[in-house]
Amino acid sequence: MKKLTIFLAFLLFVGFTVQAQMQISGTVTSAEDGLSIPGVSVVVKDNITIGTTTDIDGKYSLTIPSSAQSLVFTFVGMKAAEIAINGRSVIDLMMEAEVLEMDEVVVVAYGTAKKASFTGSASVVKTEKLEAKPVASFDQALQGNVAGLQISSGSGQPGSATSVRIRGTGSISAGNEPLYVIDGVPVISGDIADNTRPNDNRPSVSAMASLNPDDIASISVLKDAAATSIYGSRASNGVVLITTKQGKEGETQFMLKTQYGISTLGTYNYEALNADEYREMKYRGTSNALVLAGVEEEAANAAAYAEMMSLGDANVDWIDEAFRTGTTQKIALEATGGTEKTKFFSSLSYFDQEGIVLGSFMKRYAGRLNLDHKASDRISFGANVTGSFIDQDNVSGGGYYNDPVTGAYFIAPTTPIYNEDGSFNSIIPENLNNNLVANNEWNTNLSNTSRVIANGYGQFSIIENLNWRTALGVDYLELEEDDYLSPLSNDGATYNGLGQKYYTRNSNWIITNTLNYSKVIADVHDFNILLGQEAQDFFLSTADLSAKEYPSEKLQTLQNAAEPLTASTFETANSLASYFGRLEYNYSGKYYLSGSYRRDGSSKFGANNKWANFWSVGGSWRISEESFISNIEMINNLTLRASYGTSGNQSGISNFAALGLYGFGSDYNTKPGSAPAQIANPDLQWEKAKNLNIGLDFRIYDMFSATIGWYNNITSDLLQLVPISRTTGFESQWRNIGEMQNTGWEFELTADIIKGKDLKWFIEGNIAYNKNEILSLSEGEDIVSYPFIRREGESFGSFWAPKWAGVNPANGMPLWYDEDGNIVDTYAEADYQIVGKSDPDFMGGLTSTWSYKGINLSVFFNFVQGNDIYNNSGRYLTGDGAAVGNQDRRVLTAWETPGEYTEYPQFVTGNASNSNRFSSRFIEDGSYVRLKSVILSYDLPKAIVSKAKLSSVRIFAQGENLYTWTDYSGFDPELAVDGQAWFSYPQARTITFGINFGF
Amino acid sequence: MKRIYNLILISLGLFIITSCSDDFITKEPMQNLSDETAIENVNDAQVALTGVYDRLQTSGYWGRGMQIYADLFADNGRMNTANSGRYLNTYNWNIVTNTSPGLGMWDNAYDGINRANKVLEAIESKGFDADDLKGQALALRAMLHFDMVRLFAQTYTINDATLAPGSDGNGGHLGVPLMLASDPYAEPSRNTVNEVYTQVIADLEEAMTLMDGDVDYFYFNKWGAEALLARVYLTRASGGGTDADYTAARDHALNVINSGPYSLVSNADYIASWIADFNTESIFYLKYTSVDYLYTDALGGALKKSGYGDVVANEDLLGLIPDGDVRQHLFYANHDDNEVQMDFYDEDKSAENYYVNKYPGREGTDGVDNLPLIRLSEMYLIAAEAELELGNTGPAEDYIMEIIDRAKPGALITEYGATLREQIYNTIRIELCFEGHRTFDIKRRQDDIIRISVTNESVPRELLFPSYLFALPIPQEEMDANANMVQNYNY
Repeated sequence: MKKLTIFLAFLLFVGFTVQAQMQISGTVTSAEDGLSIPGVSVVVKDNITIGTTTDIDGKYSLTIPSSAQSLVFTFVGMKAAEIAINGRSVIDLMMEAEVLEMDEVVVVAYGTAKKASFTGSASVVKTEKLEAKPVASFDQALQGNVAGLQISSGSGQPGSATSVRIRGTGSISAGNEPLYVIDGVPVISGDIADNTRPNDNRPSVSAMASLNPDDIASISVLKDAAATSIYGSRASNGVVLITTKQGKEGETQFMLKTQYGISTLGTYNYEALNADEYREMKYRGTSNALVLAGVEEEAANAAAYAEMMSLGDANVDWIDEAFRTGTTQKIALEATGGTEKTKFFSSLSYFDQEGIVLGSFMKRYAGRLNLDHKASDRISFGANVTGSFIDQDNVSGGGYYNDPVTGAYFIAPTTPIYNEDGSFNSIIPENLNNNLVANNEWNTNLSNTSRVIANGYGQFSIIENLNWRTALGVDYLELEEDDYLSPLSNDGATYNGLGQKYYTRNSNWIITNTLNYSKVIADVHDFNILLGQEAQDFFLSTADLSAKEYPSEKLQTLQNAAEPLTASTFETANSLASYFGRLEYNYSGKYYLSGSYRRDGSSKFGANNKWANFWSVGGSWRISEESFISNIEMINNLTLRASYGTSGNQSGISNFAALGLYGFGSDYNTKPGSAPAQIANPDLQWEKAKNLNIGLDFRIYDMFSATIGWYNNITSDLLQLVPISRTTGFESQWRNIGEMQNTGWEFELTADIIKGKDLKWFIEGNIAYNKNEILSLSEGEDIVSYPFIRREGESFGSFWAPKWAGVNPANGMPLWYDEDGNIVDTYAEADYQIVGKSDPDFMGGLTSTWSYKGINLSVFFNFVQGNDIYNNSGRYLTGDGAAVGNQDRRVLTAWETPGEYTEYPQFVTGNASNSNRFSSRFIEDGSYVRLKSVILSYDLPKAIVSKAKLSSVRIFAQGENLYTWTDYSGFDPELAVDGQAWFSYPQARTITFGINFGF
Repeated sequence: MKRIYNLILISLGLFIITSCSDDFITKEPMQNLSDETAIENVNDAQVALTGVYDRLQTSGYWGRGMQIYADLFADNGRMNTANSGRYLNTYNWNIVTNTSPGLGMWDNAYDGINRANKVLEAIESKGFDADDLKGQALALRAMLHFDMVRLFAQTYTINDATLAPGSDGNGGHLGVPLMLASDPYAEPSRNTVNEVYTQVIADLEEAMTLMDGDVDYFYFNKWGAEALLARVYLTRASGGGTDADYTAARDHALNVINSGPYSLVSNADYIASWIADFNTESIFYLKYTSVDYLYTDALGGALKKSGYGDVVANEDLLGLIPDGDVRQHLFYANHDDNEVQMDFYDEDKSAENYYVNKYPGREGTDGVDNLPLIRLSEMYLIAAEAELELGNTGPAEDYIMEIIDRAKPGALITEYGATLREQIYNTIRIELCFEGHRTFDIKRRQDDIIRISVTNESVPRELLFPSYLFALPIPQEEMDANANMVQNYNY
């Protein structure tokens, strides 16, 4: 080694001595932001031994032979530039960012891949789409940004969980949520609230809200087998890979982000009757009821008038009482920097959202440190650590009487909030005596989440190109829930105060060992081999405590209660052991092949099926690299991809579903008793998905890019509870039966319409079509699961309801159809039929971005089309007089005179016409187009900024959920989970303003 | 430096070896025990046996369902004029496969049988010294199989090729599956009625040899098994069966009466005995405590005015009780609270509905009652009916008079019917009403159900033997899941 150095030095020396020399220097800056770029390689063309790199200020200086013609500047992520010297001694350069998207690096399973070499299907969402969003959790920002991904919010409560479907619904009884992996650690996701809590006060607590969205550098949504198979038994619902921001070499850069905004009630199609209208409807209802009962009209009207007058003269807008203007506040400090050896990214953030419903908020305190260190050429290590704490005040959700949203619509406008003496009115029969204003004052429903996600890695280069990497990650999540019903409140009075406390502790760890070898043979054969092994262990423990009889409503801890009610703990665990490998090969950047394999062993499955194998093959052909295409100017890229493979699903079923179990609690005569609780199924195994994916990527005229994909996913061995002979002592057993198919097209398009130096216009959009079909069920039998039917040949989300035929114009009574299509006038004669489906035909999003000098305007629409929603709340709000609570204003158009055509049946107090029973009347088109967000930002010019000793200043304004076009008559169509909508916390329309300072 | 590299390599290698074995992916549940470890000693077996008794307690079975079916389907009970709609199908004989009252009985009984089999298998395979537990498990299994065959098959002595194909007067027709081993994959076909009775008798006889005769009110003991055996023989004999069976019924009943540690409750204690935890004739009572009682779903809840009060006494039954019979005090018209003086039934009164007060609720709580499954009075009644059928009218009258005289000291037997047969049948009907006997008694005797008083005119009055309705349909859920199951005629 030493000899070689001397030899090279000698060669250089010789070179210097024989040629005339000249000095050249300059500064390299970025064309994008004008900042200097350190570390740019500057070499003499045709003589790469003569060169240097730019220093921290982007400056370089080089002695070159006078014969040199030009300099070559290269830097990762920037377009290489070749500049003729032409005798100059100072050459400054503005480097342009590399736009060749095929060189874009995509985070994939267990590593990264150049987009060109990736044979799978993945959509990537970059940090720009997430920053500045006034949402608690990153998943809320994905809708419309990823082709084939559907989000249902379920609730607008700050901190509540979302439901995510990628390329349709793949499972009937098991889980349908994707696997989330943060920096290599598969993490706890979904709603983590204690599921033993009764529905009427259980909040939704999102596990994902504990992650600060600003920490995320990119999200890769993996969709096909080539991308997901390597995650084996957990991959069939897709995989969401989250990569957090890593440190950058260079001087420490700070970023202070501040944002403040207000939220108001957004899309909400219901308007409650005001007091006068309510009195009018009461009058009509009573009068109609009496006339129908045979009372003379005059007498009926008199009685109705008396009843109307008895309602009193209060005039309360309960919706106004339940809703308010919410606020969102965010302050974050980020720092990034490092040396060649050590790099770091660090952030501290505070997020505070006060919800639009009385008594709801969420506060998050989060910190992160990502650190990478190179100990030597062969050893490096690092860690990503984040800790967060969430304080959440929940409204009692679930649409029960104690839910303020339900109360806002149920409580009559003629019901006063306060009694005459100023105390709360608690005689509210139409809402089971729940006064939403009083409940907010008296009761509490809090949850606190503490979470740490940490993963450390060590990497060791055994020989050149062969790297060993071991990563160890932990995900620790603790949730503490407090539910207190004051003795003053209606629900708490029966207990004389009820305190409930729920502790949930999730802890899981994972160790991943991988060996990676890459080699290029003969310049054209490019190999990359990954071998790995992984073990993961999950543990969940809960403790539920409750007590009643409180001496005073002022104290809430259980110690103050006189009578303990329950004390129970619960524990469960599962584990997964895996081996995996992946081989990637490409020939000369034209032909790409990949294959992956994973062997998973899971504690969840039966003795005979503990282990299973998953595999995929994929290939792509960069047609544009072929000589017969490469000279066609307009085609910048043309790539054909295909993949086929398998993956599994083990989520959503009990950890011990395969075992024969004995349970306790079958007590008799105060003696403990046991009984068989579950039948063993040693054959129980994963749901299996087979995915075929074909894709075409192209870019033309250096302006339009597109990815077109077609897929066919078949899930088989669906996990189902199958009825068995009850002579066994059991009713059902988990078995693997049935098949379901999702097939569809996806289009992702981008267009650089204007690419001027100052003015830029960029459009990106996606649209995804999916068709779901159940291929087979246990013995071909329908499964009726209100409000759906699962039937072979039909969509999973087929609604099964009596078919509505409208209001009889002759008498204002409801009409339905029987199965032969005849109109019938009694509910009992109406026949159940398939009357719609909850899965959309297509959905997508469209973003248009304009920028001019530092001004940036981005407008984002998303849309979902062709799905139906069962608007269950409509059964109560657009009633026929059968329901007792307040009504939507639409009932004002209820049928009144013979011959009148209207959608709303005659309003009759105590109506027994069944028009509000479950029928297709309440299954509506849920299609919508939404102006999801508009962001306007302005980057202050460098000249001004640098005077203030800052490196950047961005001012922005942002609007979220601004407008929705829909025919859906219920609450927000995006709130419907699996096509069903009940009273739920609405989403807010949020306007925020913010300033980010870089220094 | 090289040494460090080697160290790293070795420690990484260790990670792989230690973290990836089959042990690692084996997890034991924390709230449950696996089948293999659930019964490892006698104490575990005792706990598992307790689980069988627990199954009897459900409201679909002996907690309410059996008593309501037996008395409302026949002529002891009728629907309250104002009712919640529960049991209307039973009362109106509107029995169909998917809403049959039999579902809860079928599910719970076979669940109980499986629990008992698990106990028996553990005792057998692990060689526990647990004769008493084994005897209880056998007796319980016999009782459950006996219930099933009484509910879901036509009676033993029927001979009707249409209603009961294969019937020959000797149980040759379809009964119910005999489940003698735990098998989660079983899809059994139906054994014949004869086979079921043979097994039930064998189980009870073996049980009697295994258990002791100590009083044990809330569990099966030797006397409980023998008393049930008497009932089984009487049921098999009725409607034209053999004298041998009548003799066996009588002998077992008499053995319980004469050798058992039980005695009839006196007239003075009779009413109070219904609210007591147990009494001197409690052979096997189903125990409920304030912790595990069925709240509004308890039998007391269904019968009491302060509960749903859906099922009330039929006037036909009330009319059979002569004035001065203490059992008139088991029925009342206006009463919501145990503290208030009850307005008892007597022949001169007529209220719209008379509620049954056999289950008044201990500790002032409706539904906390111990329900009699087997009590001594029944043994006198079995002995009387068996002697009658054997032609021994003298002893028959003696035994029935024990019950009549206790109910109304000094009563004349003629106050209870014109003939000895009527006197015996009526006494059985009155004494055991709302304890889950009446439909089964009519069915085994091949009698008809004749209702004189009904809640309203749309209620059917006559069910003449033979009828398909004397067997409940196999539940639709079972038909769907079990390819080998054959449905009863006309369902």
